[in-house]
Amino acid sequence: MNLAEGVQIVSFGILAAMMLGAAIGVVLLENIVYSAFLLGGVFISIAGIYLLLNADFVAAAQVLIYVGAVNVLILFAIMLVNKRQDFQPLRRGWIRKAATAVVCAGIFALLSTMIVSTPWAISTATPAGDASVVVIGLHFFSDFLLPFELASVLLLMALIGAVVLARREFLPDDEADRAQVEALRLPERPRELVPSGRDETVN
Amino acid sequence: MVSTSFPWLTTLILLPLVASLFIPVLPDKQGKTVRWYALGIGLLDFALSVYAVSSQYNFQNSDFQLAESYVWVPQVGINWSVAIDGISMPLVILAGLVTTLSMLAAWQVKEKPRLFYFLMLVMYSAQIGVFCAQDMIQFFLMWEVELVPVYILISIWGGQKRLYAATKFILYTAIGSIFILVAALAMAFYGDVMTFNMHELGLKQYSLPFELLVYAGLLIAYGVKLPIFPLHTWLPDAHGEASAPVSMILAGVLLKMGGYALIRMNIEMLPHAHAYFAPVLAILGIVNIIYGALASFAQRNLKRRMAYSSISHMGFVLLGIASFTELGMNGAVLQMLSHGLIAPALFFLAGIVYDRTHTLDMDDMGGLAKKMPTTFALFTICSMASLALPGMSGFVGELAVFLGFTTSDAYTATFKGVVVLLAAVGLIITPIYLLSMLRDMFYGKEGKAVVQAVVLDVKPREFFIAACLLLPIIGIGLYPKLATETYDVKTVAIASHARNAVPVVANQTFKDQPQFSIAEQPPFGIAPKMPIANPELLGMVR
Amino acid sequence: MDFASLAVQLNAGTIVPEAIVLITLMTVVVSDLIIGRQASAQWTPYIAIAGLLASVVALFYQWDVANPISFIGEFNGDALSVVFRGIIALSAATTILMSIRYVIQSGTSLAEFITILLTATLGGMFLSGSDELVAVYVSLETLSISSYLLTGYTKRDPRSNEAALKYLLIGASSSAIFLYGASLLYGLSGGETRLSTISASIASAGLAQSIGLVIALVFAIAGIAFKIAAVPFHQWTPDVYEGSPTPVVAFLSVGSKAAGFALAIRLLVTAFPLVSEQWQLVMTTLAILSMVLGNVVALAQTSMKRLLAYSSIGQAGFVMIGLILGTDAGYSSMVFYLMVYLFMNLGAFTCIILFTLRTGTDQISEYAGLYQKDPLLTLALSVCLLSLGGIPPLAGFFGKLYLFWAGWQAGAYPLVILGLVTSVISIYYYIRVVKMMVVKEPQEMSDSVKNYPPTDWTLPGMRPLQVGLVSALIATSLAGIFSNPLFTLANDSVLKTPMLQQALGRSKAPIAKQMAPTISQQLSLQITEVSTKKAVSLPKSMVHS
Repeated sequence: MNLAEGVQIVSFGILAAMMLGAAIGVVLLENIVYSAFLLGGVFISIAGIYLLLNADFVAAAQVLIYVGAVNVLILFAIMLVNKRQDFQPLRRGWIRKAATAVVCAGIFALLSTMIVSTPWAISTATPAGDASVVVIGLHFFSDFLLPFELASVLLLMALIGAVVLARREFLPDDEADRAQVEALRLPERPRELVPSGRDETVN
Repeated sequence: MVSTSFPWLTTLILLPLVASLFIPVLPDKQGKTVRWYALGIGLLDFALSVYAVSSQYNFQNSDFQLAESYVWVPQVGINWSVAIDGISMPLVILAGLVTTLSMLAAWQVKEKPRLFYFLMLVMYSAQIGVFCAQDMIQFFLMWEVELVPVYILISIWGGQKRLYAATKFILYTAIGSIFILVAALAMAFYGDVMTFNMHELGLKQYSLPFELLVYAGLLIAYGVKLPIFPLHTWLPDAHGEASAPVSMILAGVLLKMGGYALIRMNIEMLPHAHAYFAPVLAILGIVNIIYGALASFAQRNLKRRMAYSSISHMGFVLLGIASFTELGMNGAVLQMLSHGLIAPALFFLAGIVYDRTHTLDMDDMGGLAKKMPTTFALFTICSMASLALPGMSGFVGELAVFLGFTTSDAYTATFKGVVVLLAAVGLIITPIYLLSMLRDMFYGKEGKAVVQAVVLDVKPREFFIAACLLLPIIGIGLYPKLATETYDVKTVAIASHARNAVPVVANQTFKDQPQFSIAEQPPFGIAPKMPIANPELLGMVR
Repeated sequence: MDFASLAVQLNAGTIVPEAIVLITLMTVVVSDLIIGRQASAQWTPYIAIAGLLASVVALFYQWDVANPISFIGEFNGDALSVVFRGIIALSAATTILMSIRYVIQSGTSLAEFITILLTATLGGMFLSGSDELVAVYVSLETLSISSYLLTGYTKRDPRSNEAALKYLLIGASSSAIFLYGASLLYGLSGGETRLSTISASIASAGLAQSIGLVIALVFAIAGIAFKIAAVPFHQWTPDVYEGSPTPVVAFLSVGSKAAGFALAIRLLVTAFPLVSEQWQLVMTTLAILSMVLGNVVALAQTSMKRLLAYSSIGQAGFVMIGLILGTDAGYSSMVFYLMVYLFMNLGAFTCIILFTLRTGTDQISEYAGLYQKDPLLTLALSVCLLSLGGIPPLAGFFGKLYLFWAGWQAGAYPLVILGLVTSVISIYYYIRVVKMMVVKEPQEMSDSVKNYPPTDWTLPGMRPLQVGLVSALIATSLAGIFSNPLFTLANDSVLKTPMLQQALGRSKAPIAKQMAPTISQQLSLQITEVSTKKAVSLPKSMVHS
C-alpha cells in the first residue's frame, strides 16, 4: 500500500462515516431545520466520494445542484412555512419503527450480499480525469443527444408547471357567471378554502 | 337462379339488427310509429324466412343448406358462417313467429317504447343468429348478444321483483356461457388444426377424457338455459317477473336455444361423450319432469306455475335427446317446437288476465269464465295442449319421446322401465296442476281481484295472436307429419350418428365385446342389450 | 466526428412524429403568450389536436421504415413503437377534446393544461421507442412529472392537491427504485446502457443466473407496475383517479398506461431474456392479483371515477395475460386490446365528464334515471361500459376474445379461465351502472338528474365534447365487428418488430430445457399430457351413411 492508496482509504472512511452519520441524523433528529442542514452534509460527503472516484464533474454538479439549490430550497421552504406544531406521538409507534427497521435491514442485507457476491464486470477503460467535462459533452451531443434534448423539454415543462402551481388565479367572474347556472358546478370548483396562517396573524 | 346466391340467412339475421339502429331517429311522439315499424320489420323478417325456407330449402336433404361463409377475423380464425339444417330450420321459423307475435302482444307498452322495440329487434337478430351460426365463436357471440336485451327487458317492464330476477338471470347465463367459450377454445386448439367451424370440430378425433370434460362444460352452459334441474332456479323468477311479451320469447325461444345447442354440439360434435352422459341426461330429464310438475303444483302465482311447467316439459326434450333413437330425437325436436308454441300462448293469455285483473295470484281470481268467455276457451285449449291431450302438438311430441325411449336399444330394460314409469308419473301430475289452475282462475266464486276490476274479454288483436299460436298447435297435433317431415331426415341422421358412437365407446371400455356396425344391427326392440358404456355410473339402475 | 456523418448516424427522421408534437407544444405556449389567455382558449386546443393528428399521420409513414434505429441506438422506431405511439397520441387528442369544456368551467387556464398534456404525450411517445436506459429514464420522468402536474392542476380543489401529492410521492419512490434497477443493469453488463446489448454483455460476463440480475428485474418491474397500476403497486390509483381532474384521469388510464406497457414489452423482452421464466412468473402473479382484486373491489364502489379506477386495474390484468405468454399472438392481442381499450375507456370518460359538467357529481347513485333526460349520453355510456365488460358485439368483446384466444393457444389455461370468471364479475358492476341509468322509474330519479339542464351544445367547448362522444360511441360499437384492419395492424406490428421476432425465435430453446418448476413448465406438462392421451385414443370408427 503506497501513500496515495492509504490517503484514499482514509478519506473514504472519513467521508463514509460523515455521510452515514449525517444521514442517520436527518432521519432521527426531531428538529426539521437540523435535518435539513444535515442533509446538506450528506450531499457534500457524497460529492467527496465522487471525487475519490475520479468523477470531478459529477462532484461539482452534486455540490452546485444538491447543496446549492435543492438543499437551500428546502431550507427556504421550511423557514417560510414556519409552522410550529407538536406531533402527537403515535400509540404503539414503536411497532412501525421496528417494522421499518426490519424491512430496511433486510433490504440492506440482500443488496449487500448481492453486491459482494456478484463478480462485477468492471470497465477497463482509463478514467477521463480532467477531461471528463469534454467527454460528457461529446456524449451529450452524440449518443445521448436524444435524452439531453428531451431533458430540456422536461425542464421547460417543469418551469411552466411550477408557474401554474405557484401563481395566483384571477378568476374572471363575469365569464364564469355568463356560461354557468347553479347546476353547472364541478367537484373541482373551489370550496371554502382554509386560509393558511391567518390564525397566527389574528392572534 | 339468382336467389340461390342471395345471402338469405345473413339477411335474416342482420335485417332486424340494422333496422333497430334506426329506431332512435324515427320521428315519433307517442310511440305509435315505432311499434308499427318494429312490427313491420318483424313480419318482413318472418315472411322472408318462410319464403327462403320454402323456396330454397330441400326437406329431403339432411345436410346444411343455404350455407354462407365469409371470412370475418382470419387472424383468430373466426368466420361468419351460417347455414340451417333440419334442427335449426324449424326453430328459425319459430323464433320469427314468436318474436313477431310478442311484438304485437306488446302493443300496449307505454313506457319507453323506443327502447322496448329496439331491444326486441336486437333479440330477434340474436335468436336467429344462434340457430344459424356454424362457427363456435359466432354462436357464442350471438348467445351473448341476447343477454343484455333480456336483462333490460325484464328489469324495466317486469313485475315487483324484476331487478332481482333480471340480475339472477344475467349472472346464471353469463357464468354458464364461460363454459361455452372455454369449450370452444379447447376444441378449436385440439389437435393440429385450429378451427372454430362446428362441422370441422365435429370431425376432429378427441381423446375420451377431453371429450367428457368438454361435454360436461357444455352441459352446464346449456343446462342453465334449457334449464336442467339444479341450474333452473333463475327461470321461475325471470319468467314470473317478466312482462307477458317478454315471457313469451323467454319461454318460446330462449329455452329452445339450450335444447338446440345440446343437440348441435353435445350430440353432433361429441358423440362418444354423449354415450357416457346419455343416462345422466335421461335421469336429469326425469328429475326435470317430476320436479317441475310437483313444484308447479305448489305455486300460487300464475306465471310461476307456468314457468315450472316449462321446466317439466323441457325434461321430455332431455329424455328424447338421451334416447339414441330416431323417434326419440324426432320427438325431442317436436317437443321443443310444440312447447315453443304452447308456452308463449299460455304466457300471453296470462298476460291478458293480468291486464284485466291486475293480479297474478290465483287466490284472488276465480269466476273469470263468465266475464271472459273467449279467454276461458282459449286458455282451456292451451292448457289441454300443454297437458298433451291427443290431437294437440304436445301429445305427439311426448308420445314420440316415450316411444323412442322405450324402443331404444342402448339401455337395459330395467332402466327404460323405471324411466318411462317415472316420466308417466310426471305426465299424470301435469293435468292435475293445469286443471286446478283452470279451476282456480275461471270457475267458482269471483275472487276479490275479479270483483274490483272492470273485466273485458279479448280484443280482436289478442284473439289474433292466440289464434296464430293455436292453429299450428292443433295442426301439428292432427297431422304431425306437417312438422316432422320438414326435419325428419336430419333427426334420423343425428340419431344414427349418436347411436354409432355407442358401440365404439363400448368397445373402448370392454375390449372383448364384439363391435356392431350399423349394417349388423338387428331392428330395434329385439336387439341384444348393449352394455351401457360406463357400468359404474349405471350400476344402480341396472 | 464531423457533422454530416453525425447527421446520418442520428437518423432523426424516425422521430418526426415527436417533433410535430414538440412544435405543436411550442406553438401553443408561444401563441398563448402573445395573444393572451382569453383569445388563445378559442383555438389553441384545436392546434393541439391538429398537431397530434398530424403526428399520427406521420407515424403512418413510419410504419415500414427501413432503418428504425436512430440517435445511435437511443431510439428504436420499430413497428411496435409506432403502434404504441399512435395509441398515446390518439388518447391525448381525445383527452384534449373532452377537456376543453372541463377546463374552461373549472376556471383554470387551458393553454398551460394543453402544454403539460402535450409534454406528457411526448414523454409517453419517446418512452414507447426508447432503446437505451438513459433515454428510457428521461422519457419516463417526462411522462411522470407532467402527470403529477396534471393531477394537481385544479389546485384549489383539496382533493386534487391530495391526489397530486400522493401520486408524486409514490411515483418518485417507484422511479427511484426503477433507477436503482437500471443502474444495476449498467453495472452487471459492464457499462452498457443500450437495452439490446445489455443481455449479451451480461451473458458473456457469466452473470446470467446471478442474484443481481434478479434484483434488477424486480426493481425494474416495480417501476413498470407502478405505471400500469398492477396490484400490488396500485394503491395510488383510486385516490388519484378520484381527486384529479377527469380528463387527466382519462389520459392516465389510457395513454400513460399504454406507455407503461410499451416499456414493459421492450425492457422485459430485450433486457431480461436471461431471466424470462422469472419475469413471466412475477408478471403472472401481478396479472392474477390485478384481475381478481381490481374486479372484486370495483363491485363495492359508489363513485364512478373510483369504479373506473378499479376497473382499469382489472383491465391491466387482462392485458398482462398477453405480455406473459411470450408468443406472437400474445403480444398482438395486447396491442389489439389496448387499441380497443382506447376507444371504450375514453368514451366512458367523455360521458362521465359530460355528466359531471351538468350535475357536478360523479356518484353512481346520481345517475339514476338518466335515460329519461339524456338518451344519447345514456346510450354512449352504456355501450362503453358494456364494451369494457366484454359484451358482444362491442369492441371489448373482441379484445378479450383475442387475449383469451392467445392465452389458450399458449397453454395458459388457468389464466384464461380466471380471466373469464373475473370478466363475468366485471359485467356485474358495469351493468349496475347501466341499470341505474336505464331501468329506474321516473319517480326514482336522482336529484341531480331531476335538475338536469337541457343539453346546449353551443356553449364553448361543448362541440368537441360532442364530437368525442359520438366518435367514441361509433368506434366502440363498430371496431369489434369490423375489427379485421385492427387485427391486421396489431399482428403486423408484432411481426415487423425485429426485437420481438428475435426474442421469440431465441427464447424457445431455453424454455424447453432449463428452469425450475414454474407455471409455464407445468403448463407445458399439461400440453404433453394431452397430446399423449390423444395418441393413445382410438380413432373413431364412425361410418357416415
